[in-house]
Amino acid sequence: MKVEWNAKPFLKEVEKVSDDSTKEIAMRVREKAQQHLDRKTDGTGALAGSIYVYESKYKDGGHIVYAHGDEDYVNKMGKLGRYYAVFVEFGTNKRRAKPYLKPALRSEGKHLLKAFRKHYKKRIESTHMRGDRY
Amino acid sequence: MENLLKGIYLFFTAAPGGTNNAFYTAVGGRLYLGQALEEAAFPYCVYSLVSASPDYWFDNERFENATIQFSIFSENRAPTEVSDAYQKLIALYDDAATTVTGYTVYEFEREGQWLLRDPGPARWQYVVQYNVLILKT
Repeated sequence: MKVEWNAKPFLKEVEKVSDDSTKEIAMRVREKAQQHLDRKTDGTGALAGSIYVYESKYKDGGHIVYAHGDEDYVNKMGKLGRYYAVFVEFGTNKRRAKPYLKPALRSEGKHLLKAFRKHYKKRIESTHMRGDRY
Repeated sequence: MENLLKGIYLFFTAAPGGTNNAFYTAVGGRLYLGQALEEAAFPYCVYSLVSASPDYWFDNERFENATIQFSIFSENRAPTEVSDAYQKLIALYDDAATTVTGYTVYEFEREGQWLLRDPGPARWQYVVQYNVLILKT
């Protein structure tokens, strides 16, 4: 006798939980990055306001935190526009680097496992992931 | 972290047998911490501490985990000069056996690199980041 178990619905739930967790961390990275941008670095708040989180289109999934400057951003070096974000993070030959994304990723990224645990627990406790469904 | 930054600089200036390393020669010995001198000639390199945090692996063992950034600047129209200096930088610092007073260096690992068009008088910037793991001795 052969018994087959279709794990597909269960694995789909697991995928959803993973997505929820990476999204939560990505949002936290964004928030932290915005906090790193003080008034001196980002006086108008334009850069802090142009940090986005979106779902990765890659097969492995996950979420991407993406920063770019204000489209119309101009300073004495000329129109930097969207490239402004990278020059704040890495610096230029005239401007000291003021990293905001990398430190945010480092401090928040390590909470990913905790987030996984929390979301799995929540999901298992909900009716969808109970064993009786499968 | 001060000792780590010092160690990185001493590794750059070390001249065993009286010969400087290829990266030192490529940037004319110009490696600055944080920001270059206003009158610095091109090409040159700036290094800085991006972030640092304690890392606990085993009981009573507190590692310091740091990200170090090197930025090489060139004013050449083509990115060849900056790329050449980049090759020499990674030859020197990838898995480098730097000496950091009071610490054992466990890891000096390249995390990533980016070639950027610089908006200032420097035309090119090559950014290289390393992850460094050190343990107090």
